[in-house]
Amino acid sequence: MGLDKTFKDFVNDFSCDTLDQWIEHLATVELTYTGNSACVTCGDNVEFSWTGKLKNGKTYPQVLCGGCKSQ
Amino acid sequence: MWGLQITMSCDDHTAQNDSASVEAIFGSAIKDNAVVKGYVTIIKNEGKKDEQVLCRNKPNLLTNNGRDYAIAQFYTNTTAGGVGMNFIALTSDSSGADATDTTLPSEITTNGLERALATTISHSTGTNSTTLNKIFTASGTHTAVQMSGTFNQLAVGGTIGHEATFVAVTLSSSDTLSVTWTLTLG
Repeated sequence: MGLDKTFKDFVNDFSCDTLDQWIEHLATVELTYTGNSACVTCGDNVEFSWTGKLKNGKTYPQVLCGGCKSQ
Repeated sequence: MWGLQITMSCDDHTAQNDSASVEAIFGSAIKDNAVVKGYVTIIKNEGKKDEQVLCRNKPNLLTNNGRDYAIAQFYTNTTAGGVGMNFIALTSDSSGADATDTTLPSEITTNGLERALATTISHSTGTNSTTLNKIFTASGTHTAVQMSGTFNQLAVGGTIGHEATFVAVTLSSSDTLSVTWTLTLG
């Protein structure tokens, strides 16, 4: 039986129907997130490719730009 | 001619659920957009002491035009594709979300709440989930802001992809409104 619920993680053979369950799942498995976002410190736009367990209660990582990271 | 009808029950204009029943009937059409789903979370003054959650993980609506746009990107375009539905707009209009909308009625165009490119655009590889987020900062007073939509361009116009309503909120200058769309495809 394939993944048949709303949120699907094909890498880890997991699916669920609610966003809360999905956020819980993201905290338990390493996934790679790609995209762009504002640096949480200075607000500059940052392109990112981040791999890890997402434990911030969101569905995307909160990122720092190179400048803020080096401070 | 055989057609496939997907019937889903809805609580209101903006709700979808998963109690889908599929039946083959003659000459029917797809009635709901079961493959593309989305959830919206909207928070006023997130992280501040007067934070107010206006809606959390509320199912949104995929417009008819949004569905057609997705189909064009996937199947029917014969030239390079279009821009993603990653621009977020707001309105104080109280008519509710409607799949037949081709615009966001009375879209706000001033004082910090004008349509903007999502600041966060994130997809996790190997999943069907994508997140868009924009934190708007009001530079004037806005009364009864209560619906958001996604578009494929910054300027007013373009194609509307999704719509969702939320608890009407009034914003004063410097208030923030965090709009997060979590979208699934397939």
